[in-house]
Amino acid sequence: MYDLLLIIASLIFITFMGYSLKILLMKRLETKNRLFSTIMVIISFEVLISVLGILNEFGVIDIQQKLIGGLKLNAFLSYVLLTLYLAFLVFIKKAVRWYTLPVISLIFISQAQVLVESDFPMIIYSIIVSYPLAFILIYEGVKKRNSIAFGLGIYIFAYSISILTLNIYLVLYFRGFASFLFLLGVKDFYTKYIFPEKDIEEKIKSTWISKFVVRE
Amino acid sequence: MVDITYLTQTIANLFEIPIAIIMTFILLGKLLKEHSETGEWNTTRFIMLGIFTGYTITVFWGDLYEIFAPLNFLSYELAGNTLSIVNIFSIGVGIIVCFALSLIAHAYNIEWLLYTPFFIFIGMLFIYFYTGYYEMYTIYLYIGAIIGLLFFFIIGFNLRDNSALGLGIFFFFSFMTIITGEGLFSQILQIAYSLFGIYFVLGRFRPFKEKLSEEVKN
Repeated sequence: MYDLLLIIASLIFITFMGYSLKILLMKRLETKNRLFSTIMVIISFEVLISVLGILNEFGVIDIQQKLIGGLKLNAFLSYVLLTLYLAFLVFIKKAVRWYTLPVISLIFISQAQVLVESDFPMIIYSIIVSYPLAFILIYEGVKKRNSIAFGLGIYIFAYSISILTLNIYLVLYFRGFASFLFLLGVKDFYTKYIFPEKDIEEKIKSTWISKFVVRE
Repeated sequence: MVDITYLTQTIANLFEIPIAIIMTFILLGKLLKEHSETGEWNTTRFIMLGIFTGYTITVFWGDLYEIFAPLNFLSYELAGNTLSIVNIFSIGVGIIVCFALSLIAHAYNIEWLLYTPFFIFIGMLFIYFYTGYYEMYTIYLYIGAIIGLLFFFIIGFNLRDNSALGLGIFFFFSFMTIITGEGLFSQILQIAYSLFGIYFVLGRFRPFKEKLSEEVKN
């Protein structure tokens, strides 16, 4: 018997992320910016994990299956995803000296899980990776008026916060909502409506003042 | 009855500890002086300071362990001079190895490799403290030390670098004392390389004088 609520939550997530991927692909083809490809790889991996989650619900595969020692398939996929995020963080900061950190951390975190079966390394790793990345992306997004960076930052932050609830339904539905916020970012919603250009902002302000003056 | 071996060993150890500390402070002084003059941190000097800081940690705890061995003042697990377990001595050697490998990356301008030895070392410490597994840690230290030592000589002769060659000679004799074990020869070697260390950190060791003067002119 499968859990319909979990499947619906995953389908919501896949729909929003799939649509975001389509827009990102078009932008990548238009601008030839490699950063879009990097984001697409991360999002595709998120979607892949979600699809595996649905297949697990239907009993097609078992994502709780142990690979080596205490390392489970779902934990390993989460580590790879977090590593992709960490790689993205060092990539956008152009920290050349830190380029090997994601791969090395993946190796040691996985080794720790192989030797001792515990979720503790994953929790620490996700906290170390996700929050700084979310804050950096939100900061860069606001500073450079970049809607995609801001959207991705909001998505990671919202998703990371939801994990603290430790409730699978809340986490998955919150993730669906966070993916919608990311979709808004991809559609340049934040650039248009939250960080408008200075001259447009001035126009709006002056319009208000002028209306006020006319009314008086 | 006085144990002669213990006595000579203690003299050599007591000679080595202050010299290691003095060497580190000389390098620190040089680094800070250059920073105050130029306003920039010299990466090579910083790495050298790191190597000698690791060396001081190793010498200080390793020698203290040997000096107080009859009193059982320090436990073997805490400071015993071995690389087979994770303790202060082996962590000090690990710091030396990491900085030595970084120096190689820096000498050959491989920027992405500069922090990599530290990431691996920290990863291994994490694995040890989390799971108790340390077999790879020992292997890493030995292989890293051999690679570091080998490249000190290669860089020294290939790039005509006085610092790398000096470090190579210094750590070669330091390694020799471990290989020769306890004995008069080992203790003489210990005092000799300590004196060489002082000579080296003061900047007197310059076998490639001509090349250095050309570089300074440029």
